[in-house]
Amino acid sequence: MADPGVIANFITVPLMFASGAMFPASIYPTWMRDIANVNPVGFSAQLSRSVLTYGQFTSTDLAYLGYLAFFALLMVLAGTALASRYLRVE
Amino acid sequence: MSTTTKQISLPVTVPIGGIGHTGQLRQFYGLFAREMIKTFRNPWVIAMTLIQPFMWLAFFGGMMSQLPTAQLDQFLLRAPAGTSYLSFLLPGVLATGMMSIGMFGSMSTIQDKRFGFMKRILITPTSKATVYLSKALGSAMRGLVQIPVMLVAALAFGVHLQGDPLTWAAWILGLVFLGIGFSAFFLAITSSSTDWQTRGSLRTSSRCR
Repeated sequence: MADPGVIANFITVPLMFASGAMFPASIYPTWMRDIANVNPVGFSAQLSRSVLTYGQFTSTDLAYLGYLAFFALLMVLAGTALASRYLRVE
Repeated sequence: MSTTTKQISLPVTVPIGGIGHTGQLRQFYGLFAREMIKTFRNPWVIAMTLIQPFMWLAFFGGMMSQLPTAQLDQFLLRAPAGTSYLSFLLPGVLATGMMSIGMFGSMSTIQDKRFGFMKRILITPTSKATVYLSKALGSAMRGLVQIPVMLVAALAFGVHLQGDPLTWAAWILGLVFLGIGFSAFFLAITSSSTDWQTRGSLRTSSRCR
């Protein structure tokens, strides 16, 4: 992998803005809403916002929690497989 | 004067980490504990973790909070009357903070490689997967430090927090999952890297070794 910093920037900045974390995703253009619809950052923000800001917890929020659990599991499994093969010692 | 040679018999099963999965579990626990100690002994690690979300809350939130209420209500569609932009932004700041925490985890992994720790730990029967998992979970736990601090900061800025213990457990669990997912992701894509100088900058250099 060439430069992790570049890759990290290419991933975090789009995910931060196309998430509904700063503004509701409903005001986004369609292409950004498409990203927001699969973005775990946005789902986490929505879930926390439902509880902390609006004081509610609906079935949609439960689905968000399930999606986040699935995301974590998938990343850990894929990452373990990758790291046990490509982790460099120095 | 008799010189009796004392026979030293090593136990057949040398318990250096053990063999099989139980051993890996013990090693995982040791490495995970190391991550925790490293985090809480060094206040700078915690400070670095907190600066970015706090800046967002203070500056971005402060800037937006001066918008007229009519415009804010137009933006904050589901918001009941009187919801401040800060209380809308706080969950977003917590979520983005949990995403970027994975980058610090991969930075500390590169540090471990540079200082030779990774080489030493992988001479032992510890598997690469165990090292990876302890790093990823340690990094996610480090991200949780920001939650109480951001909540206190938001309260100080005048945000009213809603919810009950059960729903609070749900959103915090969601953040834990997010942190684990992104820590695992960033650590995986940087697991072959040893470069730390250019992190965060847009330089297209190859690895400098």
